[in-house]
Amino acid sequence: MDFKSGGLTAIKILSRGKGIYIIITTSSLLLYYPLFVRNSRITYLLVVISVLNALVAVLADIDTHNSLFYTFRICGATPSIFTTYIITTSSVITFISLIPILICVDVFGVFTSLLMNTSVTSSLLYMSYIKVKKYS
Amino acid sequence: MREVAVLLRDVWKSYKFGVDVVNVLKNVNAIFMRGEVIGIHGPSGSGKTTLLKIIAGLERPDRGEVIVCGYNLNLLDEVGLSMIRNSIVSYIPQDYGLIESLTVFENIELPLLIAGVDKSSRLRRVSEVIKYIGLNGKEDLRPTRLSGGERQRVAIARALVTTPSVLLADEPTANLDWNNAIKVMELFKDIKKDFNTTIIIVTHDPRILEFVDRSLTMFEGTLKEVTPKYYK
Repeated sequence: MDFKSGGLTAIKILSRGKGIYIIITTSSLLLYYPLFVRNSRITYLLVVISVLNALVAVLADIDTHNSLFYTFRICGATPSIFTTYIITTSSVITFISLIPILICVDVFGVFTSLLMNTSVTSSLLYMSYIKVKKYS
Repeated sequence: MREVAVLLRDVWKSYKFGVDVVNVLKNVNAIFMRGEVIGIHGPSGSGKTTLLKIIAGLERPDRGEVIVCGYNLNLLDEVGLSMIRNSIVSYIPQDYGLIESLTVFENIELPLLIAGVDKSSRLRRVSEVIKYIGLNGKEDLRPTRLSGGERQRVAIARALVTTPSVLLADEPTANLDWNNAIKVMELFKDIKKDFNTTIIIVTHDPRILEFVDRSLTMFEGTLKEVTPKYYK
């Protein structure tokens, strides 16, 4: 039940929003570096760009996420549905933005990005949810 | 004998603005019966929206009792209040609360998706409501492609899809011209007649009160009956 309402809505919102296109385009461009350039300094740069990319992807659709939290609340979504929505959105964005770093097969880079991207996306969405809950 | 839908007893609510505390609701007492259309009229900032949000379980009162269809909202936790909002009370916000990325159909379907209703039942129920509200042919459009009156209808359809006992509408005609406002109010009367729903409308437009069974006025956080209390 929670996956259906929280997860499916998250995928619908993501697939129709601006954020997913920004992240796919940037990630595709970034793929060039790990595929053709083997340089450890570039890996660190990729990690930074990947985190920024995930941040931009969430912010690009923040109004939609906010209105969804508000509408979910009005329609009687339980706290677990909000959690499912946040986790699904965060996971999809993290996964796509992680692809260029996964190509590098750099364990440090992958884990740093995984941690950073998940933290950044889920924290932003959670703060947004708390704000909507407080003022609606 | 008519059933009590909403009972408010000695309800108080205040907000903190920095060091100042503003009492938004002061000793509000009211009984709303099943199948009534109630209009609450008052100036902006008089506490109308706060009252609706408390009945919807979106906010908790500082003190006092709020009983909706036999459920004492003070005794329910966040999950319990979510269940009430999903199945018993529907709230239509002033800005309609529609999600622009979703189609009309998906917006109306949302409460059923949250309730865990299966796909075929969702399809059937949403189609019924779309037909009832008069939105045929608009199912696949995004809300941005609709007029103000149609957007309001989508919000009403979404509120109606779970067949709630209580429907709360916050300034439902504020963004509409008078002709569309009349249509929306006629629709509320039909909903009351067909589903025996209690409809509570807050408005700053006194003309809307022509369409309601009972009207109350709200001023500086206090609620007063305007029409005779025939339900006694």
